[in-house]
Amino acid sequence: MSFLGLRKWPTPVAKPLWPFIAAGTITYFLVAKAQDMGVKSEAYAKDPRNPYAAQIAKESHH
Amino acid sequence: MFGNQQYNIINSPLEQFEVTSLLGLNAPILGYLNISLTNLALYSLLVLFIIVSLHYMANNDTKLVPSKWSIALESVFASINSMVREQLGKELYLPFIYSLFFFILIANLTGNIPYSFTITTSIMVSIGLSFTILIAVTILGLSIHKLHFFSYFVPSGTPLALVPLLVLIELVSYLARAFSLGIRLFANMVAGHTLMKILATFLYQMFSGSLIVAVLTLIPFTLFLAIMGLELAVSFIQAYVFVILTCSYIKDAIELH
Amino acid sequence: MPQLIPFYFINQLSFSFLTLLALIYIISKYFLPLFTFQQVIRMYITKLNNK
Repeated sequence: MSFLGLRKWPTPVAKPLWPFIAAGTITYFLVAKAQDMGVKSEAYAKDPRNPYAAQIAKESHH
Repeated sequence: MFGNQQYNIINSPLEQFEVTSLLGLNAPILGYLNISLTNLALYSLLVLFIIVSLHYMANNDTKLVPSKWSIALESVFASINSMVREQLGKELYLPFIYSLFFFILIANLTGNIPYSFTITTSIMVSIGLSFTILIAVTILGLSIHKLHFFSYFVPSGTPLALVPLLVLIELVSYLARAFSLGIRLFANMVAGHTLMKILATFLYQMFSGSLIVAVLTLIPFTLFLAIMGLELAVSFIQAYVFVILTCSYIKDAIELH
Repeated sequence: MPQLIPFYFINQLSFSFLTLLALIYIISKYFLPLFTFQQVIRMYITKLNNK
């Protein structure tokens, strides 16, 4: 994609970055949990801007 | 002269920080997946595009004499390179530090353009990034030093009676790094943009009054221009401080002092 | 406070992380080596000149 006429050099990308990618996945899971809790909470479940309104309505009917 | 004046009712100066969806896609697969192009996503793609095109334009094709674009970029590269080598001693983390610096700098600067969105004013971007950096640095330190990593929390030369209290204090200050790094960037950006929004709203009301009031408003307007200049300086300084503290935390994990 | 509205947390986080990852990849594979290459060439030419 970025081969706009430039040469590609063999810089190591995974060797310095593996702790950051692991930490990124940990942060991702924590934030997903926080988002789930926030979206289903009282204050935001019935908000018209909520893109998960259909899912919550279906779950509350079960 | 009074004509048809329409007043836009602006609810609060914090409205500019709302993340809204521009193009949404709601699919009932994989647990109601919702992919949407939000304004934050659009601006982060814009930041990526600006950085890549800046580097492409400054590509001097290894000529000896630098062009105007490459002087700026080469001096930035030289200063970040010297900072990383001075703190860490090796260049292994240079691409990460360099990209982080440019990401935060260009993100802050695009936010200073009127009517645009600053991606670093979002909690997830600033504090998520700093939290990730702290956890990554801990993982790195644990993988290099295994259990000897915890000797970082006991400063050398402390009397044995004080060690439990000192370990607790050091632990709390280490965990606070996760949030202090991100909150510094977040609070500076949010405060600056909120202040500019409030001042601009007042100045707009005063400029659209009568002619004498409009001419007199030029004096507070120069103050507003000075504050915009301050915001530009703060963008540069916050990017630099974030990056130099990240380097310092990586050095602490590798060398344990 | 609008930063605490939880609907787009994952969206914000994933887009910023993906942008940063793409940026690190592109910069480390295509642009940073050019800077080092230029410094090496300058050093080489200076050494050739000093002979």
